[in-house]
Amino acid sequence: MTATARTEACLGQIAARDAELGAFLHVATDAALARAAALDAQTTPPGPLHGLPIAVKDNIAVAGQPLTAGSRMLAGYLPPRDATVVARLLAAGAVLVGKTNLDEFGMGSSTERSGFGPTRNPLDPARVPGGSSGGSAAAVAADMAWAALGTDTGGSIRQPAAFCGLAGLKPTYGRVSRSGVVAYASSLDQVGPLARTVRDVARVYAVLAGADPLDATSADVPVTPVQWREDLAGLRIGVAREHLDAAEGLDPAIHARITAALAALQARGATIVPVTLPHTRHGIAAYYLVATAEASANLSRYDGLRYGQRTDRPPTLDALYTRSRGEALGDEVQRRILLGTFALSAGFQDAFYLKACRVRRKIAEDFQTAWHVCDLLLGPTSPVAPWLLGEKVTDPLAMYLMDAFTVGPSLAGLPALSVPVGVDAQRLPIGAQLIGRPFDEATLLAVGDVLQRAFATEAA
Amino acid sequence: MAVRVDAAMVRQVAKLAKLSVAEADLPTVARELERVLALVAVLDEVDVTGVAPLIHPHAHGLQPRPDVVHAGLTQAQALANAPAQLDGCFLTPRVVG
Repeated sequence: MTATARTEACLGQIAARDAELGAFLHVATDAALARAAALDAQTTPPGPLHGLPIAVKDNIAVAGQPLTAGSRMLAGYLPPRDATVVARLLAAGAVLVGKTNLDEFGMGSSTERSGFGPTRNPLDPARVPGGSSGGSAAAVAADMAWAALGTDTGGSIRQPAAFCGLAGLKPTYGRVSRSGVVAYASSLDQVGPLARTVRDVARVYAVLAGADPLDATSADVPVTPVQWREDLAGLRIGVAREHLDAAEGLDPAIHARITAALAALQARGATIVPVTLPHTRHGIAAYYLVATAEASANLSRYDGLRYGQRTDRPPTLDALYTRSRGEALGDEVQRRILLGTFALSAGFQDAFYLKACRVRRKIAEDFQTAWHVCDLLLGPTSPVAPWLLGEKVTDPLAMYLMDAFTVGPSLAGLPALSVPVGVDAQRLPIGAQLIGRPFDEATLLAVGDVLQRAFATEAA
Repeated sequence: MAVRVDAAMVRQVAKLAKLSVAEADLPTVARELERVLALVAVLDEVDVTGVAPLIHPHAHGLQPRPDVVHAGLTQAQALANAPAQLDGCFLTPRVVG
């Protein structure tokens, strides 16, 4: 299949479905077709992603395409250069079809909090696609792209992947460059791929991974090629009771599906090991303090001076800052900035921000203890199935709790992969989360592939 | 740590955050903040005596790049997204008398 044929097929799907789904904030029709034609005419050896149409979350810079990060603040912003991950996709031969919708600056779990309208789940448009990379997940699930880049701060790749029946990888913190990515919480943010299969995720991941001189937090740790497996003899899979049997608010259908996933892996030779992650119930609180504290610092750059929206005729410089920010930033973003500023303020920093960072270390130590007895962990990605649009948007706290299983690996900087493991009685997809040791994405991907194929066989 | 949030506290935090919260909205924002702080009070259950804060998860350390000059943005690129500019500079409201 030519690059042009693949690209035209995706653009055709976008034309047919995106008015309803709202997955894209910018569709690069002309640029994508020109790029595909150039790739079809190429005489040099093809790259690993030759001619494959990929969508990019709109908090990642693509030179010449508008970038908003889902915020009215950045309406009309044109980035001057490609993010490192985008440069790597292009060098590998990818065709970039457009920029996908997200909760403003990545702050949300449903893509209902974009400044440009919500994204709907292609599997059931009455429901959310998850978030914040909901546009990326919807784009892939509706065949509007072969794969997509997302970003994940507390679950924003894994949960939308689970909600849209896809595979999605949050790499180890430092594995993938953040240069050219709009910062939300710098000690948590990572870029990663979403695709239909774990093997496709691995193909994009292999292109993205590796140190980058433009990001001092990227890690110079060798990227191990994935050894695909048929059986899992010798592999120890940990199951945390706090993520399954003792999990609060876990949908029984999801519990049953994860239990079936464990049985499928056991049938292929893996040993299941019970473990405990005793600070799971503190993860959400630690996460929201750390993430909002970092966000309050990162988002101070939106001051209306050098780029972004500026209020009309401010009388003073201070009025320029406060009015520009007040007018252009959404409610949830302002809520999180206020919380983060509070957590860092004099008199409260020790009790809130630093306390959260101390608990963060306890959470990381829980995982380190688990690695003594297992090679990876398996549990649900989300405690619930995709909810209806509007169902939770009025209660931010209820939405925060939906991230209970994904924030732990984020705080600890660990790689985690969501793998589709079937559907519930309403045909809504269910995702299993595999959590790995630092920089051991290769094991996660190999096991995730076995798991996905086990369920594909079952479905057939 | 239970914290009682009042309008004055929200006004001060908003000032620090360079956000404008309307006077009429201060009580609502205070209540919202108080609810979140009640949620995070669960952290008080954890004994963190002697535990160092984990600020950043990279055990591998930072990777400084060689101290050599690279081409950065040109002046035109830096100004391309400016809401207002004059003579190659970002234009702001008057800040000195």
